[in-house]
Amino acid sequence: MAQNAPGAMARGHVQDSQSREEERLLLDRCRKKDRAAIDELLRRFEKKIYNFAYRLCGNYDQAGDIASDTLIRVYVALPNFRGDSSLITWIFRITHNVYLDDLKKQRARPAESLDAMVEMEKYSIAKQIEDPSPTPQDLAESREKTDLLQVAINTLPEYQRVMVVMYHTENRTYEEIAAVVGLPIGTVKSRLNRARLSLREKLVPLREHFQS
Amino acid sequence: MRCEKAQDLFSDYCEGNVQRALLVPLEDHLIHCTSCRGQVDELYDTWSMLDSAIVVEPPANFHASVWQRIDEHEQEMARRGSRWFDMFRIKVVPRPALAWAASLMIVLALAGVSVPGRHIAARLGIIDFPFSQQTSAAIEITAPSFEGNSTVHFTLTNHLVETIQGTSTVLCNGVTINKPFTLAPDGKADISLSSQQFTATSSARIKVTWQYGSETYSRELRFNN
Repeated sequence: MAQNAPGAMARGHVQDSQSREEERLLLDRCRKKDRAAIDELLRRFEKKIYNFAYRLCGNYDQAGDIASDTLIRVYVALPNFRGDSSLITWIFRITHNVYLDDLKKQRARPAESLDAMVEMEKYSIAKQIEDPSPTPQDLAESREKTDLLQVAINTLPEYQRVMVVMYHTENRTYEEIAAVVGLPIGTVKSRLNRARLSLREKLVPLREHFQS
Repeated sequence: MRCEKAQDLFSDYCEGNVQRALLVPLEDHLIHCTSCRGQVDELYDTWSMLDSAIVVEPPANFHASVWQRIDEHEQEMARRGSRWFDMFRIKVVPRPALAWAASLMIVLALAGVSVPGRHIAARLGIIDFPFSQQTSAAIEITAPSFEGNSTVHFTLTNHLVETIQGTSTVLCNGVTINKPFTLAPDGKADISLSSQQFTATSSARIKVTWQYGSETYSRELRFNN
């Protein structure tokens, strides 16, 4: 039974010495404002950052803003990157910080607060659960499956959401998550456990829509 | 094995990470406890649903829009670079005469008995942030002054492209007063800190501590009354 465990998969990003050296050279060129190198760096990470941002905020437009702000901050702070963590961990940490800044700004504008959005989305998932016969064609679409999943993720408190997103959609290790959120691994694990139990209540009634 | 203990292991079980010594009693428990078996099955399903999330694509113009922002940032830095100071040190910069006079008049008007001192401005940089020809100064302090000899007043300006949070501290005559601030990009904050202990002093220190990314930076500025 345990051998079929869904979580029993390779996680994180293991770099061999050659790819580490390539990355180091790329970063050196970026620091010298080599546009081709910067372009390569952007292309390498922009999709990952956008996806991570979308999973955190649950809104495509806002994800674009967060991803764009992140890439600018990465560009500006690149000379400051000392390689203490892996580049992707550093970039995820910046994305998370940008997202938190964005969250603070939203909370300062009550009319557009994230709390309100989450409340709205709680309502919408409640509607999904209550609806005994959603249109199969609608739910079969992958975009809608993604949205359904995202609505459930959005109901989590922020501190749980970032961990769920990093672990399940970004396939990061507990160590990498701990480095991004600045918490001990044990705390990350226990928060993830609670988050999964919370998601179980919301997603299990919808599981037929995820069966392909 | 009891249900509570089994439930603590469910996530590890889904990852296939239960220690061998616990795996046999756990699976034995799952065979006999329909409730826990149901919960594990549901957690498996939840896990699979979460892992099935597809990758969402950024908009088609996203890459170009990031490049545009980078270019705008570079232009802004080049524009500022001509008038920014050494980023690694705090420099005391006399204000232009006209502005100094205007400031003097304002201080006198507000404070009445104020004895405005030497006005200075400083830009506080981030260490190890070596843009070659450009500065990366984060926060600028403009013209700290004593007002009425019991209030220290200064303005902070954020020169970075993101919001900065921090604390400004005035240390004077053995008294320390803190005031937190949040500065939007290009935002300004007027800080006024008062204490009767400031009266009849000739100098004070302003310490500014701020967060940038995961790092904390701190700079201190002395000024004379």
